[in-house]
Amino acid sequence: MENFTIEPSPLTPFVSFDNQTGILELKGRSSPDNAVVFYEQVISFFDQYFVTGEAGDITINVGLEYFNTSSLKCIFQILRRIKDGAEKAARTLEINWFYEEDDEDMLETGEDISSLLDMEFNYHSEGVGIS
Amino acid sequence: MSNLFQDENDILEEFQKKIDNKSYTHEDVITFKEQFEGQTAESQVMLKISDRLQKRLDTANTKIKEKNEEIVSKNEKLNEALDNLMKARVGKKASTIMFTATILLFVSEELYVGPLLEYFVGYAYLILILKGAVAIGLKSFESVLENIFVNGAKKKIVKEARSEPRETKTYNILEGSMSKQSSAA
Repeated sequence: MENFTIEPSPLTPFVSFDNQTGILELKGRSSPDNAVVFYEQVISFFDQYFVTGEAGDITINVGLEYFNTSSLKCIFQILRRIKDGAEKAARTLEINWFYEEDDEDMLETGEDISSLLDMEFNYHSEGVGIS
Repeated sequence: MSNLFQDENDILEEFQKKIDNKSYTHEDVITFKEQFEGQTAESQVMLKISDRLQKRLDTANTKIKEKNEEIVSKNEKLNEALDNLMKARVGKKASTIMFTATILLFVSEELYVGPLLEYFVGYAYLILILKGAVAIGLKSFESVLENIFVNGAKKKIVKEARSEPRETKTYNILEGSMSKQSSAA
């Protein structure tokens, strides 16, 4: 499958998946008018990705400054589908949660999502800049 | 995923079908209960996260409101100070012109107008009346001059402000910091 990239806008995050490295980047702000429409393309991509049988190990780097409730639900669904897909395909999944050093709220948010997913995250306080 | 609650709807539809067909087993009910518990737990965590982020936005909005009020207040004081400064400068300029005009009028009156009136009309008090009228007229002239200079200075300030690149300060609501942005007017 080809690489997947969505350029960021003031209301939507940078989303990128490199098929060679297996790295999914999700960074920026997410409060689109219609989160379902925005994230549906990402969900569809990964639904296809695991069907093709080409799926390798996956690393997800999440560095979000802010997201609204709809985005949160969509992001959680993406993470859960990737987790389920990786488990079925017997691939490893690593999730890196980036946040600003003094942003305790975003750290706690990562911990909450980690608990909900029943999966350990790696936390990085060196900021949420797009690499 | 056609809507945000697609997963929840799928679970409900699937179980509804089993109810309609009267084909559900005890296992199905347990599975449905577990799915319901899972969705409830998910909703609780999401609400918690949303409340946290909402609180952060509220705090940021309060800070923005306070900063705006501070900016408006400082802007008013600055405008007042600039206005006073401008009036003082203009007043000084008008006074200089008035002083010069007064000297010129006094000299011309003493050298030309006074002797001419005395020669042709011969009434000494008429010269006094004329001097008084000129003094009153000069005071009005000073006010007119001040107004002209004030209006000119205001137009000049507006013109300069329109031609200069505008620098606006924006408040980053999420990081709680001020940042500058420049844009051509």
